[in-house]
Amino acid sequence: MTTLDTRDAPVAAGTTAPRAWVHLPDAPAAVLATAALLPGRGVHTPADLLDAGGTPAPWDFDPHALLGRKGVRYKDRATLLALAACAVALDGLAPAADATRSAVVVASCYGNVGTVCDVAAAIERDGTGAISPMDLPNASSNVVAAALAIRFGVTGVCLSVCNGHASGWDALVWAGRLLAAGRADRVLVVGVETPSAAERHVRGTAAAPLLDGAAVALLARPEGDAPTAGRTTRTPAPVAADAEAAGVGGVLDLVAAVAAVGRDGGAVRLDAPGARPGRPAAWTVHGDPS
Amino acid sequence: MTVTTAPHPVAAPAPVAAAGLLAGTGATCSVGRGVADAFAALLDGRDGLAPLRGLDARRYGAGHAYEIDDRAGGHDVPGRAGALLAAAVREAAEAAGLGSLAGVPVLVGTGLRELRSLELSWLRRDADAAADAGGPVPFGPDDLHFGPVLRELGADDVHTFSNACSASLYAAGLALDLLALGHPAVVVGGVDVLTSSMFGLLDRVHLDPPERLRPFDAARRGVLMGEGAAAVVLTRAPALPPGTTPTRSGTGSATVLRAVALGCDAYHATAPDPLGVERTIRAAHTAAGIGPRDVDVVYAHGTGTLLNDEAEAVALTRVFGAHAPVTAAVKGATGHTSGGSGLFSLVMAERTLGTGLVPAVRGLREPAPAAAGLRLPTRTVRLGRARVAQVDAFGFGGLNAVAVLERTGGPDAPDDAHEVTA
Repeated sequence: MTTLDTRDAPVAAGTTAPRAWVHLPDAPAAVLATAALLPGRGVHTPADLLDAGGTPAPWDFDPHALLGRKGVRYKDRATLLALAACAVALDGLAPAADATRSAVVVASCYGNVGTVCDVAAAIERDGTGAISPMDLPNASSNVVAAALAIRFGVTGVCLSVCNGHASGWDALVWAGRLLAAGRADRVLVVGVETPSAAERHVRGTAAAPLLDGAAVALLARPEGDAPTAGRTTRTPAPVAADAEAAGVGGVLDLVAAVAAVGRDGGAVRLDAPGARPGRPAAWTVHGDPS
Repeated sequence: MTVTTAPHPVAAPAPVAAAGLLAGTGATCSVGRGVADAFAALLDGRDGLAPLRGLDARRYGAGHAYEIDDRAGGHDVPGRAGALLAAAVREAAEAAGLGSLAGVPVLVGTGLRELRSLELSWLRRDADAAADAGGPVPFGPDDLHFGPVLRELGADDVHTFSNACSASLYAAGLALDLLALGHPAVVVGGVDVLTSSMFGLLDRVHLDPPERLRPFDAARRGVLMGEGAAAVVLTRAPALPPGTTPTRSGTGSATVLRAVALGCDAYHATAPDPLGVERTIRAAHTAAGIGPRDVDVVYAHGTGTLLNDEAEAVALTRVFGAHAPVTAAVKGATGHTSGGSGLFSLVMAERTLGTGLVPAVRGLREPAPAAAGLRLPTRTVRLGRARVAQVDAFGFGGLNAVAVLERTGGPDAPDDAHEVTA
C-alpha cells in the first residue's frame, strides 16, 4: 500500500524534491507530487493534459488494477477515482515524519449526490428495507476525504470543501491556509467529480458534461526559498474547457501547470474563476529555477 | 497578477495560534429558537422528540425525530437548512454588533448541506409526483452550498465545509487559523436538517429503532436525528497585559475560544477510534495551554449510539481519570443535529460558563459501564468553578474536533430561576 504517512515509517523520513512551487494566497507551497486520471478524456498522467493535439483514447477505469482487491467493494466511483489518483501520486514518495501533521483536503460538488438521490428514491418507493446499509458512508458528503485518510494514514486535518463550482480553487486556498497557520506540513489536495443522473438534474440537461475523474496535488511547506520570477510567465490554455470541471477545477489546472513548467521550465500563470475575498484572480506556478 | 523579482520569503514559521473572542452567538434547535430560549429549554429538561413531520413515517422503522416545527402543511418544504443557518448567523451578528458581513469570512460546517432540498427536487421531478406533493422544487448548483442564502446578510466570502458530524466545530478551528493569519473577525456557522437518505440509512443499521436518544445510557439503542443551527462571531482576542481581562459589552467578562484541535482517526468509515478521540482531546488541551484538571465542564458529543458513546467515554476517562469534570450531553434533548451539533454545544457551553449552570443529560437513566467514571448530571448542576469548558464533536470517517473555551472575568448575573443541585 502506498502511504502518504505510514505509521510504521522511520521517523527520519526522507525529503522529496519539489516538482514545482505555487504561490497560494496565504503561503507559498512546494508541489511534491501530482496525478490526474480522466478516463473519458484519455488522461492517465499529468503530461497527457499538455498534448492538445491528436485524439486521446478513452480508457475504462478499473479500480482493482490501480488499487488491488482490498477496500474497493461498496465504494462509489468518485471515491475510487480519488483513491486511485492519490495512489498514483504518492507511489514511491517518502512518507512524512508525522502523520498528525499531514492533511487531506477534498473538493467535490457532486460526488455523493447520486447516492443520496438513489437512496431517497428507493425509500420513497419501498421504504428503508429496500436500501443497503453499505451506502451509509457513501451518503455522507465527506466520504472521499475519509476514505483517503484511512487508506493513506492521514491523521491530521481532513477537510471536505463543498463550495460550488470553484471548490477546487477553494481547496487550494485552504491548503495554503493550513500550511500558513501551522495546522499541517503536508496537504494532499484532491478534486474529484463523477457524472450521475442526479447531477444532471441539478445542472440541467443543457449544461456541459461534468468532468469524470480526479486530480491530485501533494503540497508542502517549502524548505527553502520558493522561486518567484521565472523566465517567462505564460497562461496555458484552460484544461478541459468543453466540460464542467466543478470540484476538479483548480486542482487540475495546477496539475497541468506543474507538468508544463516541468517540461518547458519558466513559470505559468493560473487564472482562477471569479475573484473573491481571499482568492485572487491569478496565481503563479514556478518550475525549478536552476 | 504582478510577478515580482524580489526573492520570495521562505514560508514564515507558523504564526502563534490566535484565540478568538466570542463576540456574538446564535442557536436554534427543536426545543428553542435563539440562544436564550434553547439554553433555558435544556435547563428545564425539555426535549424536541416528536413523530416525524417532514418524512413519511410509514417508510422508516423509527417514527420519531427532533425536528424544528416550522412547516405548516403536510409536505416537507425546501430551503430549510439555509433559512435556519441564516437565522442563527443573524442572531450572532446582531449580538456582536456587526451590521453587514461584507468582507468577513463566514465558515459553515454542515454534514448534509441542502441535500434535503435536492431530495425533494429529485422526488418531485416528474410533473405527476410534484402535483401530488406540493409542486416542483427548483434546485441548482448554487443550492448545494450556503453562499447564496447568506448574501442577504451581506456575506461575500462564504465557505461551506461538509465534514460530517464534526463539521461546525471543524469550521471553528479553521476560523481560529484565519484570526491567526490576520483576519480581525470571522463568522462560524453550522446547520443540518433531516434528509431522507441519512435518516433512512441510520434507520437501516438499527436492529431495533430507538424510541429516543439516550446519551451514555446502558440501554441506549442508537441515534435519532435532530435539526438545528448555531453561529458564533469570533474576533481576535487581543494579547493582554497580565492581570487584565478582555471584556464583552462592558460587562467585565468574556468568553474566549482558546483552541480547537482537529484530527482524523484514519481508522474506519463510520466507527470511531478511542485512541484518535483521546489524541484530539489531549491536543486541544495542549494547544489551549491547559491540563485535564483545568477543565470544569465537558460538552460531550454523546450521540447515543453503542460505539460512539463507548469510544468517547473511554477517551474521556483516560484523559480525566478520577477527576472527571461534569459532562453535559445535549443530544438527548435536541437529537443529533449532525454537522451543526458541535457549534451548538459550544454556544451552550458559553452559556454554562456565563451562568455556572449545566443542564441534565436528557434521556439518561443508567450510565453505561464505560461511562461509569463520567459525572453525567441527571439534574441541573451549578458549578463551583466555571472557567474552562471542553466541547467535543466527532464525525463519520473519524473526523475529530475538540474545542476549549475559557471564561475570563466573572459570571453573568445569577440565574435563580432554576432549581440546582450541587
